[in-house]
Amino acid sequence: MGVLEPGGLAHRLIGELFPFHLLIALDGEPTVVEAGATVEQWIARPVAGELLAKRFAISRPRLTELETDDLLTRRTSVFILDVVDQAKQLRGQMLVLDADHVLFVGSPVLTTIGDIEQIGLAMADFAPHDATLDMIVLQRFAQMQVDDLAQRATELQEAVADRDRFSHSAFTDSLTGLANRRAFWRRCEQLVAERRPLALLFVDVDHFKAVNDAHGHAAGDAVLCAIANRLDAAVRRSDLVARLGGDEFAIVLVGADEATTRAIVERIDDHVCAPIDVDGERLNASVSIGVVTDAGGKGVDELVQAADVAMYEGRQVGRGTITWFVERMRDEREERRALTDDLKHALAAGEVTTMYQPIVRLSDRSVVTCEALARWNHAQRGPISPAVFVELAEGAGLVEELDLMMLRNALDQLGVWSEAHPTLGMQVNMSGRSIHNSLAATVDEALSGAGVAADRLTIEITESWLIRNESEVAAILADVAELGVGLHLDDFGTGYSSLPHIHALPISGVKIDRSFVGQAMQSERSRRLIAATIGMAHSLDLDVVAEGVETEAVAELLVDLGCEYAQGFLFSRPRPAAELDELITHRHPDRPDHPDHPDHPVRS
Amino acid sequence: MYGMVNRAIKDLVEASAGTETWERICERAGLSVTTFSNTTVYDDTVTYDLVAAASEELNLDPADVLQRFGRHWILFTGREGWGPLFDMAGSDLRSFVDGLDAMHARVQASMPACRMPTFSVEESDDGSLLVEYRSEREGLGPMVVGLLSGLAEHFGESWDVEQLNRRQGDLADYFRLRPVPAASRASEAVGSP
Repeated sequence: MGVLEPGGLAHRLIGELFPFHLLIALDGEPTVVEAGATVEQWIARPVAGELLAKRFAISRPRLTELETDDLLTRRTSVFILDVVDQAKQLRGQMLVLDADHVLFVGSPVLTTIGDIEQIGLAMADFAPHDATLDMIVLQRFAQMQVDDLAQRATELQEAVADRDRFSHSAFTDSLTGLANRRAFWRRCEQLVAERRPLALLFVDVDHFKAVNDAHGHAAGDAVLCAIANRLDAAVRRSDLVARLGGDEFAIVLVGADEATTRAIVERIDDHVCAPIDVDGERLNASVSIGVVTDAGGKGVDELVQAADVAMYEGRQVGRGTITWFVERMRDEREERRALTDDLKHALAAGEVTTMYQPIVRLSDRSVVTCEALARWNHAQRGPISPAVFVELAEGAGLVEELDLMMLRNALDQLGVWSEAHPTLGMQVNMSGRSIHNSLAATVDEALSGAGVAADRLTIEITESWLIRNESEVAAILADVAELGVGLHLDDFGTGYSSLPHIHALPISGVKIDRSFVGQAMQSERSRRLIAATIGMAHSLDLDVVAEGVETEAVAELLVDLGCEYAQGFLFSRPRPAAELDELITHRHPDRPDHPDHPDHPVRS
Repeated sequence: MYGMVNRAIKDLVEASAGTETWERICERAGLSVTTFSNTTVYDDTVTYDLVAAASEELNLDPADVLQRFGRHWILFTGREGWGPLFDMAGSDLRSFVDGLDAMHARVQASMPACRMPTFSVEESDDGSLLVEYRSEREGLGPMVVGLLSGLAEHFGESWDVEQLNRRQGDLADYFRLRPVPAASRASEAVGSP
């Protein structure tokens, strides 16, 4: 063996460099002459002195047949030595020492970190340059990278899911599940940018506040959900229904011409206007719809505003309306908006003044009370009809301020008149919006401030407000009546004229609407209605005041029908307080020169 | 450092104080993430900041945190997935510390960004061991105390581990490991003062 003499330098170096070496003699059947220190430890069997074939099956990769000569000639080939009866393998090369000896230098084949557990060797058993263990670490590191990727994939999936959830909540109305305002705007902006023809519907639930007030917010939510479902069911898949907020919905009909829009709007109307069951109670539902169509070119804001304007315009006529936008409506809306701004300024600046119209006792034409009436003489536009500015005030939330101003002005004026006319009364109109829990306290404070007795004040209310929440209104009015203040139902006959209302409320009189009075001479039906009202009121000990009396004939008719009091141009148009002094003086029973006064010469 | 170190800190905190504490520690450390990739290299300041934040959050001395981390690394994290290689490194504490450099060298072949420390161990006449530890990183001596204590625990050996004061000019940290007498161990076992 020459250079590999036991104990020699080369022998020692090979032992250290190649712990898994085999010295194989080929002079006969290949026999292992010597094995590296770790080989026998590894396979736990003696190797040195054994036939090679007894311990190892030798092969070359992809080759099954192997000749002994190959061990001598295939100097650069890889040889694989499978340990007989064990799942262990050495891989290395044959170094030819001489014609009869080769030196196998190799290393165990380890493919997984689990193989190390089986190997039963220490790290020190491997030569430092042996890359076998490095491969194991590399595999482990690669596995860690795969694990990291899997973790990142999970994080990425969660991030995407979070984004989707956020996106869904960001663009969905949480109550109804419809698109929300943001989603609606985004969709409309997209359609507008594409210049797609479209129709936009602004849908407002009628009397929704009344539903909330009367049945609670849960019922209100149920109504909104039911309407949302019905709207969604009525449109096409390509359309989008959104809840903009509160009881407002909007719908965009994509690519719809006028005929298609009309058909869908009618379908919506049919779908929505069926009763809604809420906790066993059937609630009537209706919506007011404003419609605008666009062939392309208008902005989203403009379209939504146009549909809103149309809806609002329809609401002036009544609930449950479908109104198609025309340009005139926008102008009128702007006009109303400007006038509302002016009204705010006018109220603050005291430009809304108080006029007084006498109410006379028909039997002697004496002035027994006055109705305080608001008048607005606009600096540029001239006189504005009370019907116009009171409606504006109600729409803009200014009517309470207006009512309070009128109450204080009227009572202050009554206080001024008190010395000369201590029994003269005053009637003040009050909007339904002013009928809230603090009304009695407000009235009491105003009476005290003016130094006027409560029984000289009568508050006029219209019936339409009473249906909103009758029991609550009745309680508030009872508190007011408790002060000694009179309550008259204004415009009686034009609204519900409900006997239960009259029965339930602490009213002291009714005012017959001018529309009946004005027709009294021409219409037998009007005369009968007036007569019936007077009869009914008297049977309940209620005062009756006829409004809008303009002729002697009507006045005489009213006397004949038993009506006690009247107001109208026949007696006096509304005038400033200063202009009424004389009229009141001559037609008020407090005056000694009045025929009814105890000191009147004729009477005495 | 590779993220596996930061993950080991996470494992330690979550195992001992819960996930919410770990999230607070990350927030205190000014980190926008609470998980780390094993094979990503993070700036060393991330690890130092985590240790500082854990110290504040857990109301522990930073050295105590590092020591606990060293022990956790040996007994749990280092063994997780690397167990067979770990077992090959040595059959007792001394041989293991002796073989650490070889193991680190093999690990570095796959993780070239590692800046591995070096260890050497000498046995003194009195039976104690003197471990020398060299690292580019400063202040990790307490972690080595934890590592050595964890190794002793792993091999069922009893050593009293002491970090020696660093002398002027020293380029390494030194640790004296003295064998704990059996009697002492017994008294410790029954809780004697």
